[in-house]
Amino acid sequence: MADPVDVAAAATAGAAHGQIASAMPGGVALSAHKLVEEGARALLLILPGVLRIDVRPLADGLQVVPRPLGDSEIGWEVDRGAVTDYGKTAEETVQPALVGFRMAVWTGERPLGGRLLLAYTRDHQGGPTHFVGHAVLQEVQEDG
Amino acid sequence: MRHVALTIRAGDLDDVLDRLLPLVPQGVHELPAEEGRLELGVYGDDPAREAIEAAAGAALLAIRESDADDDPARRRLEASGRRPPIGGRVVVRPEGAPPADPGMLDVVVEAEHGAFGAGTHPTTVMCLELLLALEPGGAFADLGCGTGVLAIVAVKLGWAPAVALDHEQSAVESAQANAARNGVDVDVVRADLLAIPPPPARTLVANVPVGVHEAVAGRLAPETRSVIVSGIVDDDLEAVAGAYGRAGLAVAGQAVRRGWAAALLVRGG
Repeated sequence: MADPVDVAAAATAGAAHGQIASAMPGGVALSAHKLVEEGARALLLILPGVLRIDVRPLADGLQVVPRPLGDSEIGWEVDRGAVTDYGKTAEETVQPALVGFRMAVWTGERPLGGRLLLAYTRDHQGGPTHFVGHAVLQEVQEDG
Repeated sequence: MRHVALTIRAGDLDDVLDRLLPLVPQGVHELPAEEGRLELGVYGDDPAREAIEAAAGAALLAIRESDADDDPARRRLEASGRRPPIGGRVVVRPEGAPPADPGMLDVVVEAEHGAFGAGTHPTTVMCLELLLALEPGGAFADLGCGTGVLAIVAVKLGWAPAVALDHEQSAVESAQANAARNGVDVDVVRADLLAIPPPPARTLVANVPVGVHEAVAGRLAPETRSVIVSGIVDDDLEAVAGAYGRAGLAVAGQAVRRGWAAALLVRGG
């Protein structure tokens, strides 16, 4: 079975989106920065064949959309320990806001587990939102 | 800035986004359309239209391309499906878009059959802005009416009776449908303004090419007190104003946007 974590493919696919990708033991680290207009759904992070993370700043909050790619499946939850402002409006948010998610991705026999941290700063007048995203996905160890 | 709007089947959204989002770093705006459909908006000059069409694939039902507003705040309103008020008073929108805020004049226009004048082109917007500066009343004629948006707004503002003329049968049908859609009385007529004089209305709006302006100006009725002209580029404004000047009208206001020009001319004395 092909390795689901293809770092070179992630670097290529994410290049136009300001994403860099690095190999980690048993996994990959992805990071990207992007400016997104209110209401637009934009790709922030991508690991081809595994998952894509989209963001959409809204007038009344923020959407973060995990999208499984290929045959993968995603388990996803808000990391309460990291959350400061998820879902709040710009006026309610201390800038930059920081949100976190825990995720598990099943692409084959061994699942990948990881985290996503997302920092964002938005114009209070409905202007574009600055996003910085960082995710790490690694194979889940049998003893852990 | 370019705006490409794709209409797709709503059920194909995820598959289309899988192909489209990697091509569009700036992201995609999703708007509800008619039942079972979505409109995806891409703002910016990249990627090429062909690449966008290819990404939509078999899910694509329609595609149209237009100029987006250069002002970021107005563009955000457009992208959200909420049309920015023209002159702070008039919202021109398609049927599926959210209604105008209370207190605004809400005008619903569909550009059926490719008729010109969905309410976003600079010439339409400038004509409406100049129209809003006039005191409503008396007969009104919309020359080169396209969708009929200018005549519809005029009636809603208080001009009557209103006539709308266009040489394209498709525009005539579109204007008739839009007048009915807005519940206003507009007499829509197919006519060639190079062959016949303009109606003797107190107020004319002519969003037409230079040659038609010259023909209209040369046959203007004495009852016509105000003419709003557009459909011309900045470089043609002086010549068009000159043609109406020979008919006794003088420029009382003008605007230029994205290279397009419009002017209000009024009869002296």
